[in-house]
Amino acid sequence: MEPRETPTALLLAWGRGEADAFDRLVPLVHAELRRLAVRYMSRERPGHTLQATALVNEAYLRLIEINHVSWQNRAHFFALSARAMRRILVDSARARNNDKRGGGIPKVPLDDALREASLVDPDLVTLDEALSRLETCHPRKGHVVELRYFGGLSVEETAEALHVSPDTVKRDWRFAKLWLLRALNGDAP
Amino acid sequence: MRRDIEGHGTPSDDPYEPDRVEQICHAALALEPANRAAFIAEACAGDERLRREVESLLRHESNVDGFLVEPALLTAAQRIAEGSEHALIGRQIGVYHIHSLLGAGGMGEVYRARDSALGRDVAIKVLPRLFVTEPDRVTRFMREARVLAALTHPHIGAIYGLEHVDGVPALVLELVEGETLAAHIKRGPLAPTEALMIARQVADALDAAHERGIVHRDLKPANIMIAADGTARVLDFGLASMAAGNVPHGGLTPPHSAVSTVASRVGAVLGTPAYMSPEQAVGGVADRRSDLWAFGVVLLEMLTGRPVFAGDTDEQLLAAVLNDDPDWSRLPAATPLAARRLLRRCLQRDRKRRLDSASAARLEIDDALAPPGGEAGEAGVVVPVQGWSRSHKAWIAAAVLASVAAGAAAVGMIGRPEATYVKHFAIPVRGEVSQLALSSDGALLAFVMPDVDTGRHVLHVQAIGAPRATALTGTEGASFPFWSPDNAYVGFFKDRKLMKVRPSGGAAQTIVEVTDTARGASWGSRNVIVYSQRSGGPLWRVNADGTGAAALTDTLLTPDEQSHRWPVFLPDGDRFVFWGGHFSKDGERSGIYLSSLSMRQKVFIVAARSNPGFASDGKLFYVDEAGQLVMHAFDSTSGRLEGDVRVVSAAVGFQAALYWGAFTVSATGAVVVNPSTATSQSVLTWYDRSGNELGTAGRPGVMFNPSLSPDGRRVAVDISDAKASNVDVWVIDLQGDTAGRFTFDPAEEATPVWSPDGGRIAYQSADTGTKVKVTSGFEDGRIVAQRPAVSLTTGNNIYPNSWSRDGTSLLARVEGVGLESAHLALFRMGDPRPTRLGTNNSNQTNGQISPDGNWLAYASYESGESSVYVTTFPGAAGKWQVSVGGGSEPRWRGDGQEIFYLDSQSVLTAVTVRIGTAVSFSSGPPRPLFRARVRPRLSTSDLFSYDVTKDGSRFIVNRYVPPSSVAPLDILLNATAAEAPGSSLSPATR
Repeated sequence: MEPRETPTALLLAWGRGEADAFDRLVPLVHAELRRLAVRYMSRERPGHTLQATALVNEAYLRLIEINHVSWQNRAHFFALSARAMRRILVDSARARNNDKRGGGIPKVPLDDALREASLVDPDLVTLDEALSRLETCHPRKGHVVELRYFGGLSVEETAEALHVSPDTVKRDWRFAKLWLLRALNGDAP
Repeated sequence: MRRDIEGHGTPSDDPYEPDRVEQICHAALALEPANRAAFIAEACAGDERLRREVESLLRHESNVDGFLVEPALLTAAQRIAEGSEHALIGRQIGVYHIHSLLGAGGMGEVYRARDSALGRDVAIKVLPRLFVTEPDRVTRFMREARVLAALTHPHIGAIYGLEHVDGVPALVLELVEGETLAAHIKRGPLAPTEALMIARQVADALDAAHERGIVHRDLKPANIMIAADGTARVLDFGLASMAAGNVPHGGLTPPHSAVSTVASRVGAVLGTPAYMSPEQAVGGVADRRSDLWAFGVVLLEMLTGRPVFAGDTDEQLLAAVLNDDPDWSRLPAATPLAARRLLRRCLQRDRKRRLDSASAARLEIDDALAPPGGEAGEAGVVVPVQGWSRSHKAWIAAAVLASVAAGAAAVGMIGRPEATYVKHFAIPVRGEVSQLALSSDGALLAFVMPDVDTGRHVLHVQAIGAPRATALTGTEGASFPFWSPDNAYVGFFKDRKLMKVRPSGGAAQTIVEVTDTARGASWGSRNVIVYSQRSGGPLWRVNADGTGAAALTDTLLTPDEQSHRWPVFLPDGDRFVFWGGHFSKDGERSGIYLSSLSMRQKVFIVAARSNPGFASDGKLFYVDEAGQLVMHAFDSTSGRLEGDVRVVSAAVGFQAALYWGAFTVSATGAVVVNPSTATSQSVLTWYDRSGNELGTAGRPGVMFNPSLSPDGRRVAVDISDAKASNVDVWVIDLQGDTAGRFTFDPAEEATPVWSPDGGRIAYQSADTGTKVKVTSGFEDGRIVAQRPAVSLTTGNNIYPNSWSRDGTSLLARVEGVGLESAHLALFRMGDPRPTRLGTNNSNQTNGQISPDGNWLAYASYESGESSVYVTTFPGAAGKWQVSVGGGSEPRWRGDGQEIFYLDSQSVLTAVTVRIGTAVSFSSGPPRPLFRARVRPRLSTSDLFSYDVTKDGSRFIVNRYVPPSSVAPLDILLNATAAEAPGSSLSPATR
């Protein structure tokens, strides 16, 4: 692979305003997603969270080679990569949802186990919509969610990206999750 | 800036104030749960909304730790892994490029892919990796796949080939677009005929597969596709064999329950066991009789609209399959006997006693679909129909039917569509009935009939069998009635509104605003109304509550089609038939089409220039080229005509300008025909200013738009020839009272307007759609061969209204597009770009340039009702209202000192005008002259009801001529009932 075409290089190019860099980034993220999915499927012990976490961290590291980014750019790059991941993952989930609704082949319902899983991890499209609403009334908390959940950043990295203390990130993160849970459950305040 | 939580005393006015809410939340979370409520109450200090806001957030505190634990990338990957979704998207497998996922589940994933070699889209089904570990099963599956791949059958989803993806077999399948039968049933039960038509195709498919030893094993509505062209196709033949055997994990059935384990073992991994045969339910091997069980379940579900076996859990469901009898009472009464017999033979729990071949099932269906014959006739005056000849019809005198008893008998018979024979009755009517609509149960007839005085159409409702109709007050000007599916309302068009009224009367309610040329609607069982928004263009749809008005068939309107009109819903409330095409005679695909709300495609059924009718047993009605009302059996899924066409009525009133025949068909198969072909007749009649009739010009006919030549010696008018199904401009010589045809084009030509020098006539021609032809047709005062015409063209329908004084420009009414109203525009000869006069969306029409050329009189709806206005010409500066209390159709006196118009009650009215300088206009009070009994408008080209001589002393009025003797309407009960067995009406056996 050309050095220019690494996900990191494409993200930086996108950050410089090269719109088509994003389009070239999408298949790379999808490839990583599939690779992660295959490894996740072939995991020896289902539900072994630790292993899954290791896998996903590895995937993020491959996509976002933060060591190749200069220190001045780190905060910017974190924000950029989280935004890109959000868009790609939500678009992909949306496409999948659309495929389920449309199309001519009879759909076989997914089993209950999967539906239960979705209660824990919400549909990305729905979450994205709720997050957009959160961003309008609590912009910084929205950023925290985007960086942590979509960008895969740690509390410290998130704090660095937002120029706030890790404690603030923790507080924001907790409040944002309460807010999103309420929104996802359709509760009126 | 942070504020001190404890220290504040004033509750915030804004309960959503972010900081405040957040601070209280965090402070509360820092406390022991037991202490939180008291703290929150204190912190909110009586601000209830603030408290509720905080509490609504804290309510989710217990879930926070488990929420968004893993980053989104893992969530996305998990979805892909567990649903195995998207894993192949973007990949190239052989010649196939995989685009998107269509579905996924225990039987693998189905993708949409592009076959780059053949340039078609296919479905690729990748089997679950799990199955690949059992070589025997793969071998058996591959063997069956090869057999199926060699089997081309119109009702089996084709297998194009086999591929391997990473060592996993993948089937390349025909991509069948459309909807599943399951989706179809979800909207409600199917009409017996439709259900049987689908069942016959399924039986065909089963028969073909069974002959080759292939058992489907998982037949269910979700596996039956109704394709875009209406054909049923059975999918996933033999795929269930993959799952047969001891499958420990199918991904769909929880392994913890005993029954489910049984289900899994016999291959019920595809979800619900609702269609599973009893032998499969107890672990037996499926054979073709198992498919016939499922076939019976599917057919019964189509007819009843609900699952045959139900249960909250798989265990209950399987227990129901094993123990419960289907609820036969849910079968609709109209279910043919043969279909009932078939169902019982399929749903035999003991498979030895079950129907054992699909071909036998198909024969039963053919029996069920064939109209019953040879059975005893019903009480009443009934004569069996032989060959539909009129001599065999039984007629009952109107007087007899008028009695209550006979009426009751007639209604009673309508309720029994199984009756063997067609029965004919006459319905007496007091006036000329046009635009009729029978309620779906055939009990009530709605129609419009012109008021004798005003000539305006009034909506009437008549119970079939009742001696007379009831006029519904407040419906003057109504047109094209139609019924709500529950027959609780009559819908109609009036004054640019789509309205509804109870058949018993009462205030009419507006459903939605429409254009002034909207007409022809059908209200389907899904409470969607489809209608023509205007004379040209696509059909529109609107929900019955008035929401969601939008163009419907706009994407289906081909460039050579001018109009979609006369929609008639099929019983499912989704599909409808309509007329589409071109008004010229050469429009090749002008005819009746089948389409649906959901599919957005149209299927050509038959060439015709007529509105369609539909009876729920699948018969299509229309007026044929010979002007007869005919009936044709019709496969309402594929749109194909079947069997022979039959003449229902040799005579039917027909409006050539509209492509509309005066007949209506109820879902129950009753037909009402107005056999009088002399409908909407008028005659040009001279009147003086007092309303004295001075004589007539020409003969009565179906005509409109009289236009006097400048010398007053001729009148041009458009005359409709019902037999030729065409409209042409004629010129009547007033001295000799001779008429000569002026246009000869096979397309409709209407709305003639003389040039000021009397040498040319402009008219609207429909041959290429939308233009005004200016024809030089006169030399030495005689009609001569037409010279090449000047055509003025825009994208819209245009109708000439008035010439400029110098004869170089033509003022025309230009119909809008979509919801836009008509406007007036000035066309200069040779200049393709017209000048628009006026910009308001107010349906301007009948523009008349004053004799001095400086003023323009026109009618417009800008005040809500039609009124006559005057403005300057061509500047259109200023606006003076001339009419009082409504007015239309202004005409100038030759000296420009008087304007005439028709008031809202069709009274010809005169107004004196005083014209001063170029911008000074005033008019006197309107003076009613006489009531002009003008013929009601029918076509959108019907603009001018009268003209006036230059001196303003005489008027030539298009006077309505009620039929001298009103022919009774002809009602046919059981019109679709057929004759003796073996008649050609029986649907053709495929």
